[in-house]
Amino acid sequence: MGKQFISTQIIRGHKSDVYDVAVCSKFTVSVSGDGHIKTWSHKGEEEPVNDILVDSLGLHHVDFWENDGILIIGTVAFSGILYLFQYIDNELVPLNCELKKNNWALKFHVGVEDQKHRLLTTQHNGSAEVYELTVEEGKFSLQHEKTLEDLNRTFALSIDVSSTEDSKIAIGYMNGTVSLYDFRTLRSSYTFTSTAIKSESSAVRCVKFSPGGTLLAVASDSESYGTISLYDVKFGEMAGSLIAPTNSNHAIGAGFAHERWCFSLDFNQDGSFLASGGMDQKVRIWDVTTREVEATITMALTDLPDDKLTDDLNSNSNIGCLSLKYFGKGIRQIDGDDRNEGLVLVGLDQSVRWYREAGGV
Amino acid sequence: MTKTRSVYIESDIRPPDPSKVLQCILTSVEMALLDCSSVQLIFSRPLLQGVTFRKRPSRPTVIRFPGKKECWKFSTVTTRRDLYYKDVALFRNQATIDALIEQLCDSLGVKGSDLGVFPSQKGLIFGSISIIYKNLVGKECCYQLSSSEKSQLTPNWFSNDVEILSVRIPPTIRCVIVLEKDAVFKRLCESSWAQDQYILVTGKGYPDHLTRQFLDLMMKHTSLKVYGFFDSDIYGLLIANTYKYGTSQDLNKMLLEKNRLQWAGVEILDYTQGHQPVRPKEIQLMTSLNHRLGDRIKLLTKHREYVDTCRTHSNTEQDFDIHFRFLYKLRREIQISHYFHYKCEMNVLQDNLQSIENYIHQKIASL
Repeated sequence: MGKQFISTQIIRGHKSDVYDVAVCSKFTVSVSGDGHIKTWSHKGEEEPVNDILVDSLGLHHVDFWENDGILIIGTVAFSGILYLFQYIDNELVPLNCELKKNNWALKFHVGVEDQKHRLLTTQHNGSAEVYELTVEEGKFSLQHEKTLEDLNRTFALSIDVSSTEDSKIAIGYMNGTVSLYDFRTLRSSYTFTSTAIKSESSAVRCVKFSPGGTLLAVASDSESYGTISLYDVKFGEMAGSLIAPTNSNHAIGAGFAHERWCFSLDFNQDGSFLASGGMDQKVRIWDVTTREVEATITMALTDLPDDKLTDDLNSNSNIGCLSLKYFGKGIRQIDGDDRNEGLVLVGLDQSVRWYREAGGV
Repeated sequence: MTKTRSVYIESDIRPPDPSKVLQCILTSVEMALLDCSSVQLIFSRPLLQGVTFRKRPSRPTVIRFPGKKECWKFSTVTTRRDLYYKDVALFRNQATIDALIEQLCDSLGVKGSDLGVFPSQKGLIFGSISIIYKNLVGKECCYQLSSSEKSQLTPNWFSNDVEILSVRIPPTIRCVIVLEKDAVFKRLCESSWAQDQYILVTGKGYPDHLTRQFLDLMMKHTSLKVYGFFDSDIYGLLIANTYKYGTSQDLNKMLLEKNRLQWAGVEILDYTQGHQPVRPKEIQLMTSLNHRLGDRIKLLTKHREYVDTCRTHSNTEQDFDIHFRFLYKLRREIQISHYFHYKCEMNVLQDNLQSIENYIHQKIASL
């Protein structure tokens, strides 16, 4: 337990569960079951900078592409529609692009060296769509390149791309498998199968490459627990798993990272730490080398300025974490303290929480 | 004896003029309804199927609606199931006859009870209730149900024109609980838990008209709260939606509904185990229900704005709140089930640490 995280801001930002969050250079962006996309300034203002009702069915995934001063934001709705926006003059301007329907997760990739810029989305039927992203004279366009068919034929829940010269694509499925593709050739390279208890409920909730691209962290369900495994990307081998410490009066099942499902993972900038968010209301920070818990953040309803949820939708007061992101030093300027990395968490309590790491000079 | 009006649909007229036939039917039915007598529809099968035939069928099909008067005097009640069995080969399945009767009622602007056709009873009730009503011939009757007895089928004697004089319930009754599942209902009836505290109702899956009508009656004539417990899967949510808004696709109809039913569970988040993965087909159904809920929310929001500006009092603030909360809760449960990709059944609670009885207690207390 070497690290400490200090809460810097909590905003009851949405009228329903907040499913995903992302931090770009200009703001934090959150999407919610209330159908709104909202952006929150790095200066800590209480009101959103942008607020758009995108799809009344609710939004569940968000990602962005930021390169050469151009910022594109993509969000997927429960209707399966992927919406794209370009950030121009402090406004989110909707973009019209020919995209497939029935999307689930999405991932933008900023090309490294001579790589293509791409947008990848997973589909309800388990395949993944690859689009080439081009920006010419400020004009943004997407060209469909390939459909990555998968033999699993189960729902593809999560996707990630490593940011290295020799990038890989990882896709996690409902049945517990993870497929790796080569980014350049779009050919399949490995398939990992979850080592968690074999059952129908071993859904791969999140796949995340380390910044160096050597490790792949995989969060999957094991019955009602959440497990995190680390894979060596080069050799396609399991490198270990993250296990929360047990103590006698806290009966966490042996070998699990979270007492409930873990939905979100993120590495810090240099890849030395991994943050994981669980439905057990806990966020754990793991030292990737020692594989030990360095810090635990507990999300509590009492953190909120007003502890009554809007319309009492959440009658069971479960406030598990649905998504989290690390953000680098100096991104948010609150309390005049931006010397450390920070975390942003969202979940079932309709709010967005920002933390920064304590200490450091 | 009551008069009977027969409508002969002659298949000899070749080619039959559909509009004339229809006019003839409607006039006769209208006349019959005016004096509450019974109506017979006699027709040959090929006509209904819209094809010409070579051989006359040996026995023409007769559909006889007893009519209101006959129905009460001689207690000849025809159920939809009975009609179906009149000619199984013709109707092929129950849904056909149900749809036909609904269409007939809709186009004539009458109720099934006017024709003397009642749906077969499907729903079950358990609890202590006595309902005093005036039947159609003006006689005061009492329908009594006590919790010491077994559960009973939903009564089929009432319709909108039966005058309800009073509904009496013991003061110990806390609320009405609607259960999706027969199995859960039976279990709760067997234990002494529900006795004198709750009125239990189940439609065994999708509720039939009678079950909904019974709930309507409870809501109109008592101030009891009504909570519903359904599976947390798309079918459970669709059933909850049917209890609340019926099968009508007419969104505007919703604005007039004063249905107080509150969705109380079960919620996926209440379960620590026993989840089942969602099937691909269910995702489609979830999306389509989510769409419909979205439309309802939009319409309701517009209507509330309208009411706010006009200050009409057709819907009170409380009515709106109950509607909005129901819609938002259902939408949230769909979203969570879609996102988690899991569903849960209510029966599974038994295997969990807590019993269904405790679960319902806690859930109701939290609302």
